[in-house]
Amino acid sequence: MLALLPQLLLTGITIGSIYALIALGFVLIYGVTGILNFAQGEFSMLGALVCATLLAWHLPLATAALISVAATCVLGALTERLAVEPAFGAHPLTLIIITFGVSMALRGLALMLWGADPYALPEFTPGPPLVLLGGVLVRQAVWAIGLSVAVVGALFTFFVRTVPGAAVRACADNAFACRLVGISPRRVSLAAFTLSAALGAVAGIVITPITGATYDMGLGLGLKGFVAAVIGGLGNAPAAVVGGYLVGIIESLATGYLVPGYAGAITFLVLLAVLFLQREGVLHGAQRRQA
Amino acid sequence: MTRRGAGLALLACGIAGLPFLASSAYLLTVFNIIGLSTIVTLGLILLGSSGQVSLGQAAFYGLGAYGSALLSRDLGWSPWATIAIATAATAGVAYLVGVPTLRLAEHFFVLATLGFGIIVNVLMVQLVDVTGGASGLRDIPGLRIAGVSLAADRAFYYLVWGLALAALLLAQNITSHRTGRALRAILGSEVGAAALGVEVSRYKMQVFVASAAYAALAGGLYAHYIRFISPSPFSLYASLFFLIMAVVGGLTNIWGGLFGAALITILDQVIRAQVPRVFPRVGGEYQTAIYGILLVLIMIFFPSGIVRGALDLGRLLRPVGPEPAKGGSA
Amino acid sequence: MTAPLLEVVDLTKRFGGVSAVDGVSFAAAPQEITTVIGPNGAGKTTLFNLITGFVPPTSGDVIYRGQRITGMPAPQVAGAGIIRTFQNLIIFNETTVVENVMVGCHRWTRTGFIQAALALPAAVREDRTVRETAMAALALVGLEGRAHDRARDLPFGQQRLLEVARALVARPALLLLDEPTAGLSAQEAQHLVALIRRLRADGVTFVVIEHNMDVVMDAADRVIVLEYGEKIAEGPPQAVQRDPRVIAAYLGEEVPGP
Repeated sequence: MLALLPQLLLTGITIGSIYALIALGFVLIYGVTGILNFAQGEFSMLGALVCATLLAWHLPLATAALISVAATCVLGALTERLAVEPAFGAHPLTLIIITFGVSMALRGLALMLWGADPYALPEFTPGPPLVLLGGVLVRQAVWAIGLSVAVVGALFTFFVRTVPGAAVRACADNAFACRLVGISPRRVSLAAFTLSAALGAVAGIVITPITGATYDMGLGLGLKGFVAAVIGGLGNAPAAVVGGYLVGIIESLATGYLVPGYAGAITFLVLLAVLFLQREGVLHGAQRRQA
Repeated sequence: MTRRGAGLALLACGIAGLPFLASSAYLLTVFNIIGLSTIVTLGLILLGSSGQVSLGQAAFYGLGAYGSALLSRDLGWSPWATIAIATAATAGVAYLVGVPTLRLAEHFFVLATLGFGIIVNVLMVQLVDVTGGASGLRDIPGLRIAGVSLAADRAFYYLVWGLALAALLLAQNITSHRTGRALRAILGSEVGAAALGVEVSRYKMQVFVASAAYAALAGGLYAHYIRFISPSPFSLYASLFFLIMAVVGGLTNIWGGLFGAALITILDQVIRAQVPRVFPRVGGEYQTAIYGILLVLIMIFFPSGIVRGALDLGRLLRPVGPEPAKGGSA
Repeated sequence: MTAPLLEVVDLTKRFGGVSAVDGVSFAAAPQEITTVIGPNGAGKTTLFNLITGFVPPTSGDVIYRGQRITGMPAPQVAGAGIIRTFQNLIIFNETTVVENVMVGCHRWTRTGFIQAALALPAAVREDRTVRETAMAALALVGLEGRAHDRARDLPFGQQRLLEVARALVARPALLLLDEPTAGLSAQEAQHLVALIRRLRADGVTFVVIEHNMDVVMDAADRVIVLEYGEKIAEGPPQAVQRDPRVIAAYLGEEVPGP
């Protein structure tokens, strides 16, 4: 039993680094706009599938990856402009339904364009797997963990060390003050969706050499990222990253020690447990917003 | 009472007469599906009138179906009793889901229902010994009254529509009295409602439990009508389907539920017949693209439903009308 | 001396390191009109939030009819007869004016989920009473002509009156009004003060946050002055107006009223 543990942990950390990226995308949009973007996982799916298609057109992997990240960014921006922005200020319910609708639409369109068959991407640096602490780690997993850490690091540097980053953080705190100093919340919202789309696309492209890519991969990835973000409290980026690794490890352990089919359900049991432990009720939260 | 009562009576007559005009087995099946969907959608609309939305409604639908199917098939109980038991049990499950989540902000609740729906669907597939797994349950007993089978499409039609109208009437009553006012107040502002003594969490719970019971009732009927169930009609896609029915009709508009269920069921039949001609490669849930886009468009342009949206539009377009006095505190 | 209806004892609320309300105590006798004044950010609305259960206090107690209600959830506080209005108005936008007011009757009506679903005669009867009560309250604030308009279509001043009507039909024992005359014309404000007096005669106790010194001097039995969350003065309006600490507190900003 225990012999399996290092391997499961390594697998968990690998997939967890992907969830962390997606969770970060959620937190970014939620922090700035207060919207929970149900379409977050679809950005990963699109990044991965576009990249696979470009590769099939004989583009080099790096070029294909960059183009597909850029394309997903455009799509993220379009999502914001066409679906979210027109309903700015509506009941939260409306915005939730809208992003859910976007996710369903993107998934359905992907099915029409790519069909239901899985697509593959080659490992970024092919080679034999590494042996680490009694478990094996495919080389792509190193890429996944490394890229995720690098992206997270870059984001934190941006938000903590640079002026535009600080501006976005200020907006998340207080939209009114933001307008006062001449930053448009709408522009910030557009930027948040674009950046989140990029995060999602990177996550999707990096994980595809390990898991493959299908039109419906976004649902699972998005929901796991969600759970990670909620574990982190939704407003807290570092905690969301930790949440991502946590979800990855829990899922991996559940797959290893329980019947694999139940792993998906376990994550949501964790979610329900986390929600159960949430302290702040709606009323107090609402009152605080009002004050 | 009068106008609403007359409307309901007219609707009942229309529904009663419909099978005589359109009697093909195919059309009757479609009508029956509309009836079942109407019941589920009404539950969602009740929930919507308190400002809540559930993405797990198909799971409650499925719990009603599986619960009633298993009890009647394996224990030999009367399907009537098992539908009632499964509905009550599903309501209990909804209560348990609601306790930790309803006190949280909207999006947490939505998320929880989504997660719950996925857990239930996973269990339907995985608990092979109980549910038959992906291949489902066969030989579910049909419904009978005094020895007469209601399995035929037409007999079932009157049963499901009788219940759908009853469900409509109940929902209408709930929303037009004290409870309904409290729900709409919660939709408007939870803080404002609480300040007037409305026990926000209790009302949200009641309406959530009721919406689950509506879905479970429809699920039970479905199981004993089709007499075969598998996990796929109870997936997330089905939840989307019900949500869009509710949204088309107007998420807080009881009568819109009937309209939404009919429109989307018919649209779905058309899409299923036409889309494969254009996109031959697709299988599975390609319709979600259309429904997803539809959902976004409706929420942006007709957030209170197509019917009310069209009415508002008509009012705007009418050349001269009594302008509602705005501004200037008399 | 009659027992106070509401007693606030050493009530404190800290947000982070900041004390929004700091050790405030006061009592409101039955049928008394207490006004709370103070510069912006003095903690007046937070005080209301603490009394009505929307925000749990850091320490201190709220005692109502001799019972400790500190930390009781907001709906229960309202259920016990303490009704409040909001400084920036909470109107149920999508419903009609009269339905807004009808929600106010929630506290003393009984129709439950099942009775409503079955439209039992009791439910129908109660509904009729509620509607009549609401219409009467609308007439009282002069909004009967707009009963069937959508609440969001009313101008701000009328929405303010609508909120007052809604609070009235709740049949409160204690009514907390948060700047009720803000946005009203002088005439409307006068009308509202007359209404407050009349309700007081009927047995209602008031705590009113008010900026309009005319209204304060005119209506208040007693004035409480808050500054930086602390109570700096309390007494009859004329005495408070002459209090040097109060004058100093207001020197920082414009002196309210003439």
